[in-house]
Amino acid sequence: MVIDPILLVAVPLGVAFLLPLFSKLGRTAATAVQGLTIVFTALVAVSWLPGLLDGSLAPANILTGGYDAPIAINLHFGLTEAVLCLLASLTALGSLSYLSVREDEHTIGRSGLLQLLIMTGAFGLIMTRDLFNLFVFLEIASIGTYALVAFGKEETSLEAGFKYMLTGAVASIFLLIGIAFLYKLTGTLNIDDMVGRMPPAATAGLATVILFLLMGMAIELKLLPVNGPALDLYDGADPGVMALLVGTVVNGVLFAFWKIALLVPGTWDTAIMTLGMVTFVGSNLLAVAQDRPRRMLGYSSSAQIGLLVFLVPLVQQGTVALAGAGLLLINHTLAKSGLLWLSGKHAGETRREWTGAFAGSVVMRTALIIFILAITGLPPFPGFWGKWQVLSDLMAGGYGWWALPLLIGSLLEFVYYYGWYRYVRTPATSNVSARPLGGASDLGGVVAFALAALVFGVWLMRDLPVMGDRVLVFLTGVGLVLTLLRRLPRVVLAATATAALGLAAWIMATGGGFDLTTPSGLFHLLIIGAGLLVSIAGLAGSSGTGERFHGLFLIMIASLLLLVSTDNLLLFFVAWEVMTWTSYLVVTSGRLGAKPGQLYMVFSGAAGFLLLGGFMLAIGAGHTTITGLGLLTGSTAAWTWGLLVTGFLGKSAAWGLHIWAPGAYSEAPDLFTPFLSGVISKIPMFGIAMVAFRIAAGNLPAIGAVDLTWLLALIGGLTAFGLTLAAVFQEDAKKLLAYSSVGQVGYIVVGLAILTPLGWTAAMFHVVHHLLFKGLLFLAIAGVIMRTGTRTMYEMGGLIKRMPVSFISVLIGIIALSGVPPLAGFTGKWLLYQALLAKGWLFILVLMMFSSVVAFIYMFRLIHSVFLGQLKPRHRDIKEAPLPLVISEVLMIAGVMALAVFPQLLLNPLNAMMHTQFGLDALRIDGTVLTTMSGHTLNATGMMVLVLVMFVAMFLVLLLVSPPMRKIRQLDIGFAGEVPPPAEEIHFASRFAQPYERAWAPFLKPRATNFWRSVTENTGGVIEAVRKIYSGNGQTYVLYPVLLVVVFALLGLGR
Amino acid sequence: MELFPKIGWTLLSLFVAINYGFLINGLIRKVMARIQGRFGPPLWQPYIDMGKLLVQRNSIMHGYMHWLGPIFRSVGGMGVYVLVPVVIGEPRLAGFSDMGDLLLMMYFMFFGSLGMALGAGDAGHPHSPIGVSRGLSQMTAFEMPFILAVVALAAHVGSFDINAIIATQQHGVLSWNLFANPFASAAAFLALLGMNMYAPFNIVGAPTEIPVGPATEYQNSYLSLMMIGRSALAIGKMVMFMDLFLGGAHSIGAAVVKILAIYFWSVFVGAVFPRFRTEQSVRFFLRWPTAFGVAGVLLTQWVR
Repeated sequence: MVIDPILLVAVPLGVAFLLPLFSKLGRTAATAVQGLTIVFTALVAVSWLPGLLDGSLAPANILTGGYDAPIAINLHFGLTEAVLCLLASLTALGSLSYLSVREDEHTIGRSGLLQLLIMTGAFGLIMTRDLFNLFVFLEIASIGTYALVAFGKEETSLEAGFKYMLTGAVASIFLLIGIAFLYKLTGTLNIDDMVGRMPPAATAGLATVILFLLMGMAIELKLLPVNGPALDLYDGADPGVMALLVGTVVNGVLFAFWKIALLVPGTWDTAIMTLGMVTFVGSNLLAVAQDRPRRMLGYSSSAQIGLLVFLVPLVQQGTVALAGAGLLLINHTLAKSGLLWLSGKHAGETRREWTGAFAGSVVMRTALIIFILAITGLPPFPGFWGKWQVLSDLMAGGYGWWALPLLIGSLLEFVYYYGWYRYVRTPATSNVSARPLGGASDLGGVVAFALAALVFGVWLMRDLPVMGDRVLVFLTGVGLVLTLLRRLPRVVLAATATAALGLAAWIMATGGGFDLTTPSGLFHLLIIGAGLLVSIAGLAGSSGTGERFHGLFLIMIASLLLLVSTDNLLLFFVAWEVMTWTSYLVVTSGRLGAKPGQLYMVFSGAAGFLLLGGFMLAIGAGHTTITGLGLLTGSTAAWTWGLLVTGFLGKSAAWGLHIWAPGAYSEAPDLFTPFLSGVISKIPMFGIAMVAFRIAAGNLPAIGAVDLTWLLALIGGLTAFGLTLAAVFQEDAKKLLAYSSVGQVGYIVVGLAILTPLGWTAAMFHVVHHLLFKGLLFLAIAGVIMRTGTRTMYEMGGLIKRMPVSFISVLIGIIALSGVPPLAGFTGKWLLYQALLAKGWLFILVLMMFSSVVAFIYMFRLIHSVFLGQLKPRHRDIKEAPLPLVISEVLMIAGVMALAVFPQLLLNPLNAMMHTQFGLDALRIDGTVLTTMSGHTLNATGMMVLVLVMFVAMFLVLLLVSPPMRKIRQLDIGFAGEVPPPAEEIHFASRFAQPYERAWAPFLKPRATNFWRSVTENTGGVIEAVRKIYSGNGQTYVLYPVLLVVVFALLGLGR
Repeated sequence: MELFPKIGWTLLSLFVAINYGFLINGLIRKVMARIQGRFGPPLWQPYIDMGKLLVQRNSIMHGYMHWLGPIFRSVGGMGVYVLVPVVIGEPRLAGFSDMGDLLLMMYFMFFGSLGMALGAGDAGHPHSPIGVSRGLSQMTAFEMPFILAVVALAAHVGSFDINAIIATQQHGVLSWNLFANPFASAAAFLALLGMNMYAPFNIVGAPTEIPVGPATEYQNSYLSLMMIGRSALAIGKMVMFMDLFLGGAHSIGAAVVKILAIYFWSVFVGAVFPRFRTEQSVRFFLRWPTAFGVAGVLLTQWVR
């Protein structure tokens, strides 16, 4: 059964004028009547949706007054209209729940009247096919808007409403002039009729008519630069009102523009697209400098509308699928309304005042991040699918260059949305109020829209093959549940996560998922293995409150498993982006993780968009799979490779792009950092190897005499050297390990860039080995931090006496890291150096060897400052790290030792892998002897035996000559012939490498940090200059549209 | 060769090398004394020291890592020696050099220093980490020219195999790398000054004015163990330099002479120079020696 859509206009209009009467019966009655009306309108749309979706219902064409189209006012109700009307109803319903608790007895009826009036206008705008009627509905909606905005209790509301009305008047004049002349030219007011009767584009005066129409719509759509009053509106009006407008009038005007655009000749397309794109990029840029979240949301709306305006001509000419634009619109409506409602739940005006907002509410925090993820276009939310569709269509339709500003604008969204969220995640200090306004009763809309965004986004994935993978679905499901139940005791969370991962590991092991001879199998094992070790360690609990990341951790692991096993570009990117946001959220859950988290997200976002750009080039060339990348040739191959590799390098924090890494690594929860360093930083390496290098190196042109792979190796080498040097001067144990981690990734990059079986074997060997020893180091340090409560190394010392297992872990870790035989670090370095020598990249070889030597300083520094030297009196009663941590450490030590004694355990499968990849073997492995293809040998097992035998021999010798000894107290030592007084302890630890620092001083300027700082400052300067156009003066706001018309006319656009 | 005869020969060779190291140490003290116008101790003074240290007893324990330090040191030193081939074509004096190549030797050299530094740190005396800090700073710096030199030689033969590098030097004295690649040799021999830690690079141990460095933490039997390790390491290093730059040795006699010559290069330099501060020595190694090393690598590439 369907309900006549004409009631969408009639019922709200009728009820609107009765509402003041109902309000005499009390606020509940008025609200109930208004609510029922809105529910009714929603039902009208819902009653049509299934039929329209499966095609069993034809769109309704309603004629008023019983006449045919040109004479009667013609309403049309198809799928697009149904969706838009439903969105409008739902937003209105949400806003009602939000607004009704805020209004007092006196205003309730009148405000409700205006809300219903606005809805009427919006429904009319959506459905009407009559140009003049469209204008009338526009005016109805506008009048409702002016009044409702001015109705606000704030003084700024009145001013905002008035300024909005001023420019609205200019818009009306322009539109009326345009409509009148168009009527003269075509003799009809019906849009569908008019399309057939449009005069040729060259007709005298037509361009002027179109210009007036477009400018009128530009003002109504709030495009740049005529969006000043709209922004004041966001700032001044009640957020609930603004949410209502986003869902009703804004979408309505947009659809009205769609209809007017049908009349615009194709010659105007570029002008419209440019105007839209300038608005998208410009508004996002201006939003970056905004300190007031609500005004920032205004800029963001303006930008999103700009994007949709950009798409209108493209959809109408069939380049871009309507579904793509539609998903973007739905996504924007859901997310922006939700954000607006939430913005009204907090008293903060500036971002700083938002510090620690909603800290007490899981619901509001979760909803907020869902909306932010959705609006920044991350999967699985609808905006992601929309953006992917739009970008693919642009590439396929020959509009590839437009993807560039689209991606830049999207990145800017990352900057300001996560900039805002950074403050939300920062723990509140006592003088900032963190209490939400208005209680919890008005959260209905927020919860419903957040769920809708999530469910709709996931529903869009229903046909993707990923939904059939039980491990992924299982882990994601458990992850979602744990995320929502994150207030449970930490041990319960950790135990559930461990059990889920164990089950997943079992399923995968029985299904042959851990086949080490394939890259996917190897990475599966690493991801699941490291995940298990981290969650076992998590059973220990931890200090601090924010570290309940178990749910997100499971979702992240699911995304990683997908990422390394899929061949589909879309799925790879989905997994990549899910990994990005889950890891971002985990990083920000560290106590001070909010600020470094923002930097992490912005760089990860940029890396993601570079990948997206690369994938889009491939899709534009007709390849949608990773295997298909191998078929790319010519400059497309080179550009794709360059974009992909730059993206991967950004995510792995290669030198120059590394400034996010130290903060993110060190401020992430202590138990998560091992995973971040061990696994997440390796995923880009998987990408370089298995995605970027699908493009045959032979297809990559050289830049001058420089080979691109050599350039990649150089970046790897500089990363290894630069970040190793930086690690030397750290005082913070986690920061030291962070720099070290990123530096170690440089070795892997070099190995991959060599592009020979031996180089790749070295790289993959290091991937596994680094995971083990760096995980071990981070876990051991996590235990130390847990017990001492500090990360600053010189505040520790002598802990070997209290935490021997942690000491042994760190000792094994640094020997493995250093490359000193007999542990496997040497085997890894040996493989890499042999490969480099065979390749003939001598200076890179020197750089790598030198970096590995410089690393000795920070390694000794780490173990000495923390474990050796003198024990601090306050640490005298400290205990060993908790048992679960120790268990994880022992397991990792076992792994490191196994790899040291029997590297062939890993090298044999790697050899098989290389045989598949290159058709060549990397090594010949006879028993314990490794032989490279050029005949160089290494006997790792023999070496270990040799060292052990000598060690035991000397041990026995020393034991023989050592008499029974008495263990002495710490301060019972000679100090150059004196004995220090007992209270004094001296620990040489602070600025340990001072002479080194002096020697290297000219090289130690933070160049990368300074570069990025100058980028930020210069961008800020540009924004400040551009922002001056928003004077806040009503007269200048009126002047801009007029000037814009003049400029357009002078440029002769569209002719 | 069978395993057990090999072990026997290696032990014998090691024993000879350690004794040779002791004698060279005695000689150095004698020579230095004569340069400074003193009479100096007898040649066998190191043996007297060793004997004295071995009979002294130590009855206190600073911690397990401290106790293990000298073991690391001696294993590190002896390990380096048994990994280098001493006389060309003589498997009985080649030790276990078939286990790996030049890279293994270079990285194994750190084993002893690392262990000793850790052991000294465990004792808690603040002066030993000061010495370690200086030592590590200087070590990373002299490794730069040394690595460049090694890479230059390795690239020349396309291998890190020490026997391959020796093999190219068997066409008369002028085919020695000392003359065939003078830039790499200059870099390596300047680096050797830092490695041997005689003046001007003796800040690490700072032997006279203040007791600084890990060695100050050890006495008695510990020190005797370390003396053994140090002797073996010194001889091992000199043999490596001989193999790399002086064409190796065809007989034990040639080896003895060449080792002595290489060793005394740093002794004589040390006799006439005052001491560098740590940052001065770091800067020193990163300038001219590094430039020579780069020239050496470029020369190899050009020759190829």
